[in-house]
Amino acid sequence: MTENKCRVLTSASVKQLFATMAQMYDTEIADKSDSKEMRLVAKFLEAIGIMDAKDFLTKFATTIDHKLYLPFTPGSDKVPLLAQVMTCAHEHQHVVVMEDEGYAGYHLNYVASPSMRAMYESRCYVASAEVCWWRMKMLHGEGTLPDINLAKTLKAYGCDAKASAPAVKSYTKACKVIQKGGVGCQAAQDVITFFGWMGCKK
Amino acid sequence: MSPHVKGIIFIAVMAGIAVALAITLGLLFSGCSECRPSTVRCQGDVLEICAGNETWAESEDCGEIMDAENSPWTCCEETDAGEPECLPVEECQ
Repeated sequence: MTENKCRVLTSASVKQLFATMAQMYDTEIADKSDSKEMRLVAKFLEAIGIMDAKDFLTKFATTIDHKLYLPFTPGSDKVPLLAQVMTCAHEHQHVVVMEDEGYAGYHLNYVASPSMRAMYESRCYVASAEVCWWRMKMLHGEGTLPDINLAKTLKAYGCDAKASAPAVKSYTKACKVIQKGGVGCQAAQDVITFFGWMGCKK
Repeated sequence: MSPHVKGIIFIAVMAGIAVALAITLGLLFSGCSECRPSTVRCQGDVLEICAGNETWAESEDCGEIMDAENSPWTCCEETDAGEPECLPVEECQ
């Protein structure tokens, strides 16, 4: 890989990252707390006991089709910038997986099958971890995402231990690849390339 | 028949179609190849894992991995871990 300059992680560069990724992946970004449909989903999830409505609206980004509902404004100083970058990779990886699996199959699996939902989320957490690794040489940065105990995290997605076990194993295997310097998720590759974190001259 | 009843019939028919479609799609996308959850295998350069629903799912496409040295990666069948995993080609014996 040719050496290039690293792009500095600033509010402006994060904003530019989201704009660039939105153009590359044909995605649209929406404010989650302002979205009527997300408020309805939040109430529904709370009613069926899966997740607290406030947590859903303020702590989790959600991607439906090519629309990303974010609990922060890109570049905002209210959420750590690296966390925003990791979220960008995570949510765009959902778009990659959806396009690989096919729109109908992906959405059906996501809604109806906890084990496949766990697999998809695991893959997208790999994208976050890949980005984090190339920024900090850590799989998860302090103060960015919860210190990932993936099985515990997947519980918030309605996936029990049995459904999550293969997804956790898949994640663990991917982490070995990351620690060897490999980046497998397309969205993470694009984010890392945007910032020039791989093979750049610091 | 009142418009109200017609509306209910229409909704019932649409719901029936939606359920039938969901079942058909579920059968189409559930996969036929049953497996033991958490076992892994190589399918070409793709590392697959048996998901909790006992169907094969992609874990990682080893052939798509990029690294700083532009090394090619592959799904390696025989590894120190005793099961398939993604490795740089030069490390896969």
